[in-house]
Amino acid sequence: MHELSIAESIITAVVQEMEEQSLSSVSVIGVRIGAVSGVLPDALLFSYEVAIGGTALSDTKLEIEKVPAEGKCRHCEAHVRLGDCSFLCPKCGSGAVDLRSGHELEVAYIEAERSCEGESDDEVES
Amino acid sequence: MNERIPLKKKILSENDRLAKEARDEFSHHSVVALNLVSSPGAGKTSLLERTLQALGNDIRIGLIAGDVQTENDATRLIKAGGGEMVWPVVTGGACHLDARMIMRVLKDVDLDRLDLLFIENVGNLVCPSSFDLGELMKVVLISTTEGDDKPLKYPAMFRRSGLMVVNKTDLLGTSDFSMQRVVGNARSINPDLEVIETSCRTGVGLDKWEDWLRGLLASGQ
Ligand SMILES: Nc1nc2c(ncn2[C@@H]2O[C@H](COP(=O)(O)OP(=O)(O)OP(=O)(O)O)[C@@H](O)[C@H]2O)c(=O)[nH]1
Ligand SMILES: [Mg+2]
Ligand SMILES: [Zn+2]
Repeated sequence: MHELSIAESIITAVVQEMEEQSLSSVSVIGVRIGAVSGVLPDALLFSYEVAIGGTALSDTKLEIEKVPAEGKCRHCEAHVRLGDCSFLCPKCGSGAVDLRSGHELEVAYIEAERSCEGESDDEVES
Repeated sequence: MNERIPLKKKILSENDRLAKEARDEFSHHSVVALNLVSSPGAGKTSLLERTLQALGNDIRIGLIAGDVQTENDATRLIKAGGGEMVWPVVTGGACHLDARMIMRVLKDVDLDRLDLLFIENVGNLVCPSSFDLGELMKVVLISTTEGDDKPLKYPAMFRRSGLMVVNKTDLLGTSDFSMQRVVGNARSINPDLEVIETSCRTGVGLDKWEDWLRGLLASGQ
């Protein structure tokens, strides 16, 4: 259940971003989880609910986008998408697939309000 | 009104940052750090006890012993010759070590007094694979009393390791575990994986492991 510490890392990352960008009332946090990242989406959702209790994010919802593991097989040279929990090429069975995607573990977006104290949009444009 | 703000922030960024700090420390002091992972009971502590006995006089070895609840492994390693170069980390329930725990321990470690640092991770083949500890390499142990399909069931761990030690070879033949199959399965996941067969009971194969360590130290310094 290392999903709990990953949930905590998500919270830390988002809180840091809220401070840096002066964001408030976060409602949604979107994360991308690669198929071979070792993180189970259901376990992460559960852990997230536990971890947000008593934090600034206690009313937020976690949205998970699963990213399939894709890459080129060194053996048969096919571009393939791996099955769940497997590193084997579905075409030829080799394990030598160089992955382009599938390891992702990232916060992709948050839905929040920008609190623009004194900083108006026109100023930013100038 | 809430708006959607795109980010591209790695979730383990805090761990990755601390792991990089640890890695920089290790390389600055020319310490080779190895992260030892396996299922519970595959023989990590036994292998380290043997290693201390065999190499403790030539190589300055330090050991960080991770455990969920107890300091039993650390106590064994101290007795086996690790002495004051053994640092226990009790994770208090967490099923893996993370870089923050390592950085906390490193405050007490004089890296100038070490050549080789073993980090014995918590017995678990899933979670430790996601947490970089700043090590040069992960070494995965598997014992012949486990299924030879373990590499296929826990591919992340075998893919991220540089060496697989197959331990308890003295028990080969007592189950349907096949050395050929376990190596085949592991290399199907990670074609570049090195393999060493050992028995910490009889000592067979430990010379290969010791040579491998010596080679690693020679190339890393
Ligand atoms: N027959 C046999 N038994 C072994 C061998 N290596 C270790 N053992 C035994 O296996 C058991 C577990 O060994 P440990 O060294 O404690 O294993 P570990 O991986 O450190 O265990 P955890 O830290 O609890 O995950 C002990 O009873 C050892 O004596 C071996 O090569 N052959
Ligand atoms: Mg142990
Ligand atoms: Zn293929």
